[in-house]
Amino acid sequence: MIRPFFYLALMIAFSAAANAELETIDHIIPPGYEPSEAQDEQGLWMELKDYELRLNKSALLVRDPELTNYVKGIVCRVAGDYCNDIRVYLIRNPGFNASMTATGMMQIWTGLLVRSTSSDEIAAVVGHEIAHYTRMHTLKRFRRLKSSAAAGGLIDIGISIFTGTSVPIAQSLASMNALAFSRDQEQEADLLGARLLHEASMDPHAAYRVWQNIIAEEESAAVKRRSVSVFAQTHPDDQSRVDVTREWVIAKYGPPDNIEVADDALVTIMNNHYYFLMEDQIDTNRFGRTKELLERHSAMGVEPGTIYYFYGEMFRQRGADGDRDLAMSAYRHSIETGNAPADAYRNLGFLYLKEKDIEGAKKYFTIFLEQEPDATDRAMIEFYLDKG
Amino acid sequence: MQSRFSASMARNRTFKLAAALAALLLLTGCVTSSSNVQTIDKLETVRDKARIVLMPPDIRYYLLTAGGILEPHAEWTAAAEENFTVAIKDYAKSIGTDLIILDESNMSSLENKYEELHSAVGMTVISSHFGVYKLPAKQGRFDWSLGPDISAIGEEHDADYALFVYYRDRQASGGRVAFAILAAAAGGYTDTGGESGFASLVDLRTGDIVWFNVVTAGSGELRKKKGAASAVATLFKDIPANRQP
Repeated sequence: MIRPFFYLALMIAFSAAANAELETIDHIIPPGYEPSEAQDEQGLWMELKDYELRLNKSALLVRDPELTNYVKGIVCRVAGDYCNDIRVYLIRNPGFNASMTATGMMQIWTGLLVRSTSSDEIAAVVGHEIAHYTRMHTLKRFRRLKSSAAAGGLIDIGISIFTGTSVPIAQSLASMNALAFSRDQEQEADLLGARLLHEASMDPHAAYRVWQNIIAEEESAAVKRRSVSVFAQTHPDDQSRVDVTREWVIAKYGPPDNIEVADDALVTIMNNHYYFLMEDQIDTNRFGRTKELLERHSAMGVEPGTIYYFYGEMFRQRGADGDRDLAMSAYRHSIETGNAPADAYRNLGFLYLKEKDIEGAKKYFTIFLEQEPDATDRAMIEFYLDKG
Repeated sequence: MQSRFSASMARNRTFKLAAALAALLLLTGCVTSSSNVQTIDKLETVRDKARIVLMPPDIRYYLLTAGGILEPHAEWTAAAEENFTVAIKDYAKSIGTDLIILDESNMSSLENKYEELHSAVGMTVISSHFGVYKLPAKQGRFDWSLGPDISAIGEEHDADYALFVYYRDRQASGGRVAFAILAAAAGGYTDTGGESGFASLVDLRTGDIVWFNVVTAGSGELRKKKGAASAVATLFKDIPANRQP
């Protein structure tokens, strides 16, 4: 019973403090910053440099020049004078995430691209992360932890970066729970991030819109994460943070001009790489979220042939009553656009096989092999073709 | 931001890591202890001397603060890495092997991949072979392998074996020691640091781990040259030599 009141008190205390202090938030470190001689800062940099060395070799690192240049372009524009201090890594992971270390290593997950409706929104997340960096939030958090006698048990900031454990590279930094940013730091990063957007002639209103989208996706989730989820726990917080940011941005930069529209740069990137970007999302088996994303992408103007294909994938994998029909219909829609991925023919063929419609299956398998003569599963498809 | 969206996954993972580390710590006693397992008696090679590739040793020194936070220590770690490399070169010579030392900043993707894989397997060996999380189907057998594709690394360096090293040292700060004394007076136990590590030798033709050694507590102080030599001797005690005497 105490908790709600506690949080309420915390929020009131915060908003009072916020109004006074938020105006003056500014960068702390200058461009070209190098670590001080302080032992703890040196140690942190050592861990992170070691991590970055490995990240460079990671199989999860996206190396496609078009994708990486797009992301780097956004980062550099938002970073302004700090551009040269930041090294950008695009990581193959369907989760929504971007992070920045005290050393200037920025990681952006591909999941961020599929969850953004404009380059401005991506820029908003990037700006938020750069603000964490220029305000030295990681080091501050670490120092606060150290000075608090309440730390109690062993907290190892190394354990998560633990060079060489089984932690997939993209997740290991995220597991620095001990160094999780505080709510105040998140709010600071939102606001300073909005300022960076404005200075880069981008839309500062994206600073809160991007969070609204995330909340919308969470609400459309078919299966809500269990209560242990940090997102669920911090959900009200996020809403109130979004509100503070929105009020601040409107007060400072005026009301939003118009409803945000997807920009050509992002739509082009999505169209050229949609299959690659969505494939991992489909594999999360989170159907509600996937559907919400497909709807969003469709509205943005992403090529319908591929979108229909992924609807087909979503229904096929969910496999509830009636999903087979829905999947077949989606693959057919995809094929009708004339821009279907080759896999649409193959997967439709498989569903015909399940329907015991051998002729239908053969028809689509044949087209698949014509389109993808070097398919790795060619032998299996030929086996089905011969069998009938 | 990241904490908000990925921490539940991360927590689970951190827990597993913590369990593996706890298993490592459980092996910690007040005296030096070392547990080793080996599946070969001597190194095999078509050359005069067996050639061993030393993967960049994963060594880290921490300051254990009064509040119980492990703070990575850059200066100590650098000294430890340097002393360790010198000590292991001497040791390799003494057991009649050629040692090739890989440069950490110039690793190939494949070498990097195997280093990651080895760490995952090594941690599992610690928790499931030496530790309390036994895998019943193994029935105590030691048959861990990184897989035969690692032979590409053997061909690249013209080597027979790869050696992996993992070493952690936690040095208690003055405040931490004081805290431990107070806690002990009140009947509690406080971790006051210590060292632990493991090394393993992998056959570069098969990928099999043919020798594995875990050491804990008092094995040596890598920050000093002499301590490093003693730590290396403890860590590689009973490693199969080039030839049977």
